[in-house]
Amino acid sequence: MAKKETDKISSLPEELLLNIVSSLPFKEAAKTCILSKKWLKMWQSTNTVNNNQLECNNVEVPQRKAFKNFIKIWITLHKNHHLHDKFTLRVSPPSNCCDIVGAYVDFAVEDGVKDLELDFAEAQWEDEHPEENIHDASVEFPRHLYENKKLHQKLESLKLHSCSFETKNFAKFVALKDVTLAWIPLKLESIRTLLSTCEWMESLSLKNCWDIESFDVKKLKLKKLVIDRCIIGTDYIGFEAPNLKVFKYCGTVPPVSEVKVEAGTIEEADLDLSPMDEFFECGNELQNFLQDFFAVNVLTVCSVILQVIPSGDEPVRLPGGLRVRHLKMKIQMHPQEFCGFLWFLNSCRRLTKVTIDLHHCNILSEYEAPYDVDLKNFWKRLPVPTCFRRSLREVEMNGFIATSDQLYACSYFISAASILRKLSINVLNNKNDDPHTVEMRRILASQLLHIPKASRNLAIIIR
Amino acid sequence: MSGISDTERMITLKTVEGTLFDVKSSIAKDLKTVQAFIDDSDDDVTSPIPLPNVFTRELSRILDYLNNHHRFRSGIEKADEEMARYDAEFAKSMSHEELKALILAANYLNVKDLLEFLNQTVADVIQNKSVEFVRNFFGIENDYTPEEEEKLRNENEWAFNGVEQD
Repeated sequence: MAKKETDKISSLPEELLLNIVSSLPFKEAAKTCILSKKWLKMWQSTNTVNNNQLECNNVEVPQRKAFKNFIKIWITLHKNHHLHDKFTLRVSPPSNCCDIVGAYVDFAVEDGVKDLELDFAEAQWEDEHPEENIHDASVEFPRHLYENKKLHQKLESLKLHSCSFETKNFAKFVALKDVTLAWIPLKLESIRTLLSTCEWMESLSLKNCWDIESFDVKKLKLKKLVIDRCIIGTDYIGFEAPNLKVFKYCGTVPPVSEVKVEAGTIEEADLDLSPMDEFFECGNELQNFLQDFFAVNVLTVCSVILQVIPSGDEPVRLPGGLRVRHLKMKIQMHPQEFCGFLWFLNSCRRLTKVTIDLHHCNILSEYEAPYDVDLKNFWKRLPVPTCFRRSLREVEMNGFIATSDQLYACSYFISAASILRKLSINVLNNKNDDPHTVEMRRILASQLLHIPKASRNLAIIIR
Repeated sequence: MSGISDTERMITLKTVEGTLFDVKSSIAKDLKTVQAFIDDSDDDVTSPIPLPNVFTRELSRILDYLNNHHRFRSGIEKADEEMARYDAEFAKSMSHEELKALILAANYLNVKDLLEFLNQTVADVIQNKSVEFVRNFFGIENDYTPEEEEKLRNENEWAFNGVEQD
């Protein structure tokens, strides 16, 4: 190294630079070739690539050739080195890339890949409404791989985004535990086949899939199931899953549900209705759905759920209650959420911890309050839920921006939760936030310290 | 058996400026260079261990990081979120020069987890930045002619689109 470089603290020795380059995604690491000639050689010699992520987004056709060349070099260079077990390939738009996919996947398989992700979805699809996200998959899972013995023995996790495949061919993949399928049409028959042939599967995630007539699966061995923004014809979800620990659902409506889980086994449920278009009274269906998961320990709900859940026969609480210990709410603290907020606090009689992640939410149009309530003066005279007196120990608020409703909500906890030990308020502080604004939020939050506390041992922490 | 006496033992470290730091031996285990020194010593190490390449500012940060991470990991409840928050603040609190100085110190002291974290932090800093920024950051002299650089860039334009303007 030239003496000039070693004198300045601003240069790090080569081995440390190599470590940093190895932490970069492929595309970024490729860019380092232009820093200097020495770096070009250095990049070509990195023999551990932490991030086996190849991304090729919006690449114009002439550039494809250069990209393919880079991959060829990369693959040749790494042929003798065992890379990490995880391989990810993202190409969008995926036209004309079958040879890239082929070469890359072959290489991954040769290397004994355990965790393979093939992503051909386009970034902008995420923002589309679930009803509109029908995009034909233009890439197929390489056929010759279905018979590959190495893959049968080694592959534990497979994620296919906008990549079609033959369900019944996965029967031989005996190590496959974790499957994610996204952006493809999926008939109920295929789902049933997949579940019965891959007996060792523990986790299944379906994301943005469509054509599912109904999700009617008799018996599931899964430990984790995710149904995320899928289009299910009849909105029906029915299954019996005695091993299920984690369940996540995201959709535009609450499903018609007939779900049976084991009370001692089910741990977590995450219900998300944020894609809902406008308010309608689906409180009964939603409560029915929630009832199936009454025994979870950790429940996560969104703003829309709070807005619609009291709209039904039980506007105040779920009769029979929920056994939830830790309630997580992703809400805005908007007046339309108040009745639902109380509904959950009333229903979770054994609640020990509440986490509120504040952010901008979908506030539904055409909202109607479930009962006669003055939302403007909501906080003035509130009942004290059972959990406040018996079990609630900790409350955490994140993304706090000190709106008056957020402050009122905090003071509700402070003045009514009689065994509360800790209230943490984490003020919103993003990279782009003005430090004065952040300071203002903290100052407003500190007003809460003067409120008379219901609990003798309450610590209020403002960050 | 000897477990209890192990964690109570304190090790003293001395930085370049002569500042002394008392460190629990359970924390010192994460400073692999220091631990190797202790293991190699015949007798119990009583006098301060000199660290000729480590400045007070860096050692202080490293110990802060290790102490906090030990605390997060030993809690009864999972403190993953708190740890992530701490890590983010930790990374944000340093200038680029301080970040590089810390990498050098962490490398010398062989603090594996911290080093991985710092590498990722630097990788995050330089991602999507212009070439000039990255050259500046690492103190690299450009030895390409303008023509050579242009050619390399054009051939691999797929890698260069989407870069922040300096």
